[in-house]
Amino acid sequence: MEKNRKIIVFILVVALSFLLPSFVKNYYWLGIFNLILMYSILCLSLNLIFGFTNLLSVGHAAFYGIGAYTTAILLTRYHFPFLPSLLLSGLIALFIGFLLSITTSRVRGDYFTVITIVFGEIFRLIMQNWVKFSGGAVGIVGLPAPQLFSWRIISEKDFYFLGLVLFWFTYLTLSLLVKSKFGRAFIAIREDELAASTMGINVVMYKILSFSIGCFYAGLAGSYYAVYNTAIAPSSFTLDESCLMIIMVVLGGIGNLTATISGVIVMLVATEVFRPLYHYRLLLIGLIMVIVLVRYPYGILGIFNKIASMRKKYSYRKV
Amino acid sequence: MTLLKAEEIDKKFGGIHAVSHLNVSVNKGEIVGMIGPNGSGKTTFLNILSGIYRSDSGRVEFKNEDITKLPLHRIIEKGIARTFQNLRIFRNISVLENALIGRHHLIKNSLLNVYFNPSLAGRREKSAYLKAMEILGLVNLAKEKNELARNLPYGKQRLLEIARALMAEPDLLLLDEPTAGMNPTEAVALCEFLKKLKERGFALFVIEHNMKAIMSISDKIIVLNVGAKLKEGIPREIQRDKQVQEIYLGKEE
Amino acid sequence: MFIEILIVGLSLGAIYALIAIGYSMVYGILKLMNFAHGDTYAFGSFICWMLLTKYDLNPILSIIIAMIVGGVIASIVEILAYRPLRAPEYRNISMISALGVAYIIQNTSENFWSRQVHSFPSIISAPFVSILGIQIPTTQYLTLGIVIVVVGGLNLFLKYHKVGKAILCASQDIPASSLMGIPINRTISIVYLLGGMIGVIGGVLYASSYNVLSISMGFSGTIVAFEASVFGGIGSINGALVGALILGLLHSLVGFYISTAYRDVITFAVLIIVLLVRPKGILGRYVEEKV
Repeated sequence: MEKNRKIIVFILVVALSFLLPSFVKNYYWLGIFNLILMYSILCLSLNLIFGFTNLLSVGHAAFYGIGAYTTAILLTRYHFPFLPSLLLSGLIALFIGFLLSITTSRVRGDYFTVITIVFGEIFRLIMQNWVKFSGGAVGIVGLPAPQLFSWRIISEKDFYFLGLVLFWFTYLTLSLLVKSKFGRAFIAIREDELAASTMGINVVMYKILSFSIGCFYAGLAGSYYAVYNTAIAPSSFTLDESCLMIIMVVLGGIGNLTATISGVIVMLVATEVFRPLYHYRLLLIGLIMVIVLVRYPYGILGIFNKIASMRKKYSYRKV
Repeated sequence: MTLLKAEEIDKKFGGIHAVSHLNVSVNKGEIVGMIGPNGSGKTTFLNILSGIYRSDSGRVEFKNEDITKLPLHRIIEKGIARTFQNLRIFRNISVLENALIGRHHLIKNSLLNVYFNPSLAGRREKSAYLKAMEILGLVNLAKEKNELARNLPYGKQRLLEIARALMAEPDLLLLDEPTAGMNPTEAVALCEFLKKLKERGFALFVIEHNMKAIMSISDKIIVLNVGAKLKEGIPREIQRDKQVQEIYLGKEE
Repeated sequence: MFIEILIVGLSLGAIYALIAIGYSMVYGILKLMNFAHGDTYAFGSFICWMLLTKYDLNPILSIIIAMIVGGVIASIVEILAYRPLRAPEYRNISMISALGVAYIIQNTSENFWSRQVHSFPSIISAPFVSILGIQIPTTQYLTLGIVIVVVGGLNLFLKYHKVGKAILCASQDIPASSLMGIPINRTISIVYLLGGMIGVIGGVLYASSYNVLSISMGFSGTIVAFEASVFGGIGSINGALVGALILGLLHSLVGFYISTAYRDVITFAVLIIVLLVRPKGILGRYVEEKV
């Protein structure tokens, strides 16, 4: 049966992902995978907010930062164990996301977007200036290696497994969410807010829900980043980062969780390839954004769909 | 039994008096039609009934409950579902998903259920799915259940919108120009379908411009002109009424 | 002292108005947040600076050339990056495209002129004017004058000139305007052109009043334009003016009495409050969506 086959494939993929470090020993490549995992968490959650609910948030990096700073402060200043810090990072990011969204979910979509941009900048400004709390522009350094029960997470491989667990957690919980009536409600809001209201969906409440939940995962990713990098600074949580995440989501495919990963991989590869052209990095990202969007507003998925539908048109096999 | 009672409904938009002291009632299992020239306030009135606009004064009572000040998204819980004049289906998702969204307020899964009681959540989803297939079968859209809504021909999209409304198990269905854009054959088929709905116990409130259609299905017809009720009566009376003819065709010289 | 702070605030607000007008007009007609607005006029201001310092060109000529450059860039940006995404279902995507354009222009400017802060030569000869016993820098006086002329001129233009009226019509209803024979694409290009040109005036005035010119004023200018539009009511020129003046006063007061570092944070807080209490701004009209 179709459903059983999907489950088997899924279990295989999960198993393979855990076995990957046996094949890939090169630390450089493991590092790339770690980045992919982390950005996937960020982009999956952003896809929930933007791809499913059509809330264009260009301030996701701020919640990533909130999670990172929470973990950094708890670990360095209060010697908290890692697991509660991880959890708190997610919850605090969720809470602040909740506060932001209750004030902005009633306003027009365009206003909402600019508010998220301004919020992101304000967050970065505060972290840069409130030296006593955040360490200012220098940030917070010297995070200890996280410890989960008896497992000390130090090497690239250790971080890979941590990242993988967080990734699968994110992917599974979000998949359950979007397949449920909540996911359908988000999609309804994206397609037609008024019709959604008429069908009994409290649009404002669901927008707040979607945004807050998305921010939770961003906080988790921030926590991961903090211990992975052992140091954080405001310069990692800029508008550019938020834009990069948006582009990854759009490129991958709005409203499709699995496709998001492809967007992450493509953009990470692109930024690696463009690394020598560092001075033009933003220009190129901007160019990619504009050209891709103008030509393929529905992202890579849209491109594939076009190819698939063309294949269908020209294949003579019975569909 | 009176299902819906709208009393002294009044609505102004700036200087325009869109709806003026309107009194309308709909009984259980009844089809009430509303006609009137363009701009006479029909859609505005429907929007007030469905909670999109708040009337300036007056009262709306449904199943003996005052719903005048009810927020939009709560109206469907009381038993009123609607369709739109310019078709508001969810275009980029499938027919089935469109129908399932209509069921939203009846699927009682909370977030906790979804994560911590997946078997219960799954059972409720399954029963929603079965209901959707039943309703889609009613409108002959069962085969197209996985088709994207935007790919359907216009007539089927209209049926989908009605199916979506039916998924909410309403007592009263508000239809805003359901035959708009349909050819005569499609319109006749739709009228038959609406009559079948009446047989199943649904009450309908229908705004229409298609005179043949509305006359053939309505138990009673309300004629609106510049926001006020001009006449109310059974189709045959309305058809013959001189004043009604005047507001559509103009005075005879 | 307080009066001086007020006057500083008003003249700052006047400059903000020049920046906000183009942004507000574009939103009024297309419902698009033009994130590239600030970087466009910043680019124009840099052109003006280059003409003044490197080529020793006459100030008036430099400004005019810079204005034309700014306006043209704005129009080109519209044609290439926004026009294909004009359909309402691409609303969010067009905003992302705008962000991309902002990055392109910003990065280009960076590569020409680097991120450092440059000094902008003063255009005015007489530094101070005395009115009612208070010393006011001439630039502030001049700025207010320029803004009054520009806003007044724009109002007259929109009300009486054929193209201006076309812009007003298009702001209300594009399909209907198009059916009435208004050339929509051309009208929209003119809106962007005007917005860019007026923005450059604002940028140049700011740079010369405060003797700073840097790339970062591009994006912060976009934010200022947005905030001014929210305060005063987006989509209208007079709204942009009112909102900008309020914003200027706010910045001036907070900057003097609280601190410059947290000026933006407090402005953000005020912005949120305004959005909660009166989202349409002071002069804004709420347009009900036809169902």
